[in-house]
Amino acid sequence: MSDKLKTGLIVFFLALLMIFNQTVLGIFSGRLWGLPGAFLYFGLIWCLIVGGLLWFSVKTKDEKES
Amino acid sequence: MSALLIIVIFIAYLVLLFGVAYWVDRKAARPGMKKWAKWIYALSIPVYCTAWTFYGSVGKATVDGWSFLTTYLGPLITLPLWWIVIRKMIRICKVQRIATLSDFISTRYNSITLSVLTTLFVVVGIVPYISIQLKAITESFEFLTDQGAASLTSQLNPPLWLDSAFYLSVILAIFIIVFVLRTVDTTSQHQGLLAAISMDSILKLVAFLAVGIFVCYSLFSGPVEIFDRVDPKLLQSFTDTSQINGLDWFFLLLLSMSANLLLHRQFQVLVAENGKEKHLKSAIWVFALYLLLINLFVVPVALGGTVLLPDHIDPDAYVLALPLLNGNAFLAILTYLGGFSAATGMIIVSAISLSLMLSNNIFLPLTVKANRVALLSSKLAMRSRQLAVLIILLLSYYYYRYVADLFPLVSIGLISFAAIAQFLPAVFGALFWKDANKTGVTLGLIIGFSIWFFTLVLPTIVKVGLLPESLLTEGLLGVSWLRPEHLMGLEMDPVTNGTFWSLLLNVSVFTIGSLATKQTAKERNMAELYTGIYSYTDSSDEKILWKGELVYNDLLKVIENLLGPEQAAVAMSHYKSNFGVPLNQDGQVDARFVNYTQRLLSGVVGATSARILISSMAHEEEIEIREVVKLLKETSEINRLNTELRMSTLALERKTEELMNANDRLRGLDKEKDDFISTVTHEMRTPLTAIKAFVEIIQDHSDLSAVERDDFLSTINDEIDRMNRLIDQVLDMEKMEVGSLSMEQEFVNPVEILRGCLDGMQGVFEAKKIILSTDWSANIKNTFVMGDADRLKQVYLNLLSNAVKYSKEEGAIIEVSASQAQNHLEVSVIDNGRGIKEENLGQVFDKFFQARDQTLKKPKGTGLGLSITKKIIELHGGSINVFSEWGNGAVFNLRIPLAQEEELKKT
Repeated sequence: MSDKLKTGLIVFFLALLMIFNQTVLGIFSGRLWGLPGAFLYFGLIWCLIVGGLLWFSVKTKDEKES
Repeated sequence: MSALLIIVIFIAYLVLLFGVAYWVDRKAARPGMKKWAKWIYALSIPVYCTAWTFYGSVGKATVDGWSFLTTYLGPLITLPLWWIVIRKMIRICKVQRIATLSDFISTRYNSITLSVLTTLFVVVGIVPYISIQLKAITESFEFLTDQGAASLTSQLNPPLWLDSAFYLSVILAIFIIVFVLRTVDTTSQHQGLLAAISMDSILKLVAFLAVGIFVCYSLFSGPVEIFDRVDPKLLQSFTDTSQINGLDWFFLLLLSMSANLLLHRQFQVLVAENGKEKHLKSAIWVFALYLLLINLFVVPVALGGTVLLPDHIDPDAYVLALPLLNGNAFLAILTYLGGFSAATGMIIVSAISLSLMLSNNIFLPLTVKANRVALLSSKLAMRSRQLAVLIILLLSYYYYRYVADLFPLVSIGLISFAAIAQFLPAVFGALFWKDANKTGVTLGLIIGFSIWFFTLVLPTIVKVGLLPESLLTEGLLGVSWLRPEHLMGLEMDPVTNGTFWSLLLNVSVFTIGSLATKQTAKERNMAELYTGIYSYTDSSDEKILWKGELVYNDLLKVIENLLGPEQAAVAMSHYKSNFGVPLNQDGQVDARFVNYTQRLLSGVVGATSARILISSMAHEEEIEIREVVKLLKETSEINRLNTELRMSTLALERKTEELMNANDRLRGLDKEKDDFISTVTHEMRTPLTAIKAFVEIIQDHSDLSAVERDDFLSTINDEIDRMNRLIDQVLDMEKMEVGSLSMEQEFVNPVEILRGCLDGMQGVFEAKKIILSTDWSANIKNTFVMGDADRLKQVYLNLLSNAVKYSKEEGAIIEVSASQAQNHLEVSVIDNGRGIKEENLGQVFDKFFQARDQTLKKPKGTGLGLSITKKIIELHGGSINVFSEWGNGAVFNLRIPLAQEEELKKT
């Protein structure tokens, strides 16, 4: 695995840790279009993560296995 | 609802599960089935979502708001790390033939004590978790049969023979023993089992989505109505996110992150059952999507339940109770099956995994230690696993009967998560820290589990009445800072308190212990292998040091007993064909063979039993650290050379690619030159042929009239002019390409030049009855460009000649316009001729393009005009473009930079 890919994945992990932090979540209080703001925030971010991981799975090259 | 009907459905589902597993096992080797392997693998990972998810999430959301989501956000956050951490674990387990978490840890730290400790800790940590699955199935069964909440409020334990949970435990144990534990090799993939678990995953997801849609759109008019009707106080726990306790939130995330990576059942499906590492890539996004979908309706169902159901209904039962509200029996059965599949999937995988640990790390080593090596056989290994399954399910049943029944699903689940989190330092140390050693890990685990037991398990024992209440209120021995739920006087949530203290002390002791004590040589050896596994994948047997005396026949006998004579023969022949006879000069087996057979045996009896077995047969010698260091030096030297070789190969490949590109370019240029010569000679031959023909006519026909003779001579003259033009243009082209074309650099008025060209061609326009239209503003007449007047004239004449050449026979119009756009002069020449086909637009500026276009009647000209025009414009710092639609004329648009006022003033 290249160092670039490894760094990218670790940064991705740290970014997720940050955006699901209580301080960030605290911003999404109240209701929007009748739904809780946090509900929409979780839904949106989750969809983006699925998309990002799908992109990773398509783009990453297979490596030699044992 | 009829209890009999539910039992029939329950048995039918188990049979279906077995049917799927059996069918897939039979078809697993077929190519058609192999392409499904990655999806089966991906869908087996949601075994993480148990009855806790199915029933408990709604219960937790009702009571604690968003905190239920941490159980799923934790795994989601770790997903990017799977390709780094899980892939490495998969590789290590494949190379070392490891199938359980305890073998993974004990092999790395080379410690039998650790294998026993980890097994016991995992069993103690996971039995409560299995018990909550039994609780969920039993309670949902009772709920459905009672059609109400009466049974949920009853806390009395029925006699054993009347307890449905007991029968459930026995049926599941029989199912696992008869249908699942059928192969002795623990490291081979169980495709059938994975397929059954995948089916479980799909069913529980479909069931939960069905309930969610039913609640949102059948019981209410949509999720918004639920949020509108719910009690404002309860709604606030979802809309006011600033209320979330950051510390609790963080520790719950940490627990679920570690559980997702290290839970024994996750280890089983993610690591042990992985067929190919690349399958992990699709599993990562499929699991993220699965978690999203299964959580989509948790909040609406939880809040909908509080609106519609009476207060005495346990929130954990909302998922079942809501479909029953308007008598939707089909949905209630589907929901029950969803919850049942969530629980059975977990129980089956957990029982397999724990039975392997118990059998391989406790029962079989005890047999070997009791000098009963001869008794060891594949049958004994299988029997001990079956016994372990029974023990685990009965332990779980008793825990459910006396403890778990009194607590919500989630609180028991979190206690198990906290137990599993204790393995984090040991596993991450194994993967990434070469200096981590068994002393540090053992002490860390012991202290971590002790604190876990004191802070999280002890309070549950107090709450069932087995210990005095004062232990919680006054602390151990009456010392207030030893209160289990508020250790050191810290006022935190009990789960946060337990996780914080146990992990803090575990990590600290692990780190200090590893730094303060020395590794043994064997440990160092395995540390190197684990941390650098990608370098040792093909040569692990050579890289593990072993010294001692071991008789080949003794070893062979044990292998035959455990693998069976046929498999043993295949394994031996495989070894001999790769490495030759495994005997040294003294008739003893060599280290490589010992390591090979130890890995073979690990697949059947686990790494610990295999190590004990080899030790019991051999006279092992101590290995010194310097020998390991020497081996590591050799390895690192080989690795260095390999890296250098790889770098040289890469450099060589790069050079080869560059040479190939240069060669391609040269070939291209060569072809271009050939094309050029061929076209020029062809263009020269055409006028020459005409000249020769007319000269011959004049020579042979002396009787030609003067008028005819003049016509022929005039044609000859035209053809000579054409040749002259061609030669001039070829020479111009050549000069431009080599950069030797002389260009005057002076301020010239481009509009004046254009006007001159138009005046010059007036006769041609009139002769061909072409209507000329010009358009330029007054101020443009006083603009100047720096360039060569003759060359610009050449450009205009080329464009105008082209427009004339391709104009219509009748009604031809040519429009010429000039305008200033910022600091550029824009000139357009527009005709209404036949235009240029779209596919040819990109080639019109190529040399001899019209000559090559064989599909059209060849017009007059050399085919170099536009190419030269483009070069001249570019030499003036400008650009030229063409726009056309076939049948609707063409537009040639050129832009030349204008001279700046300051430059003009200077001159």
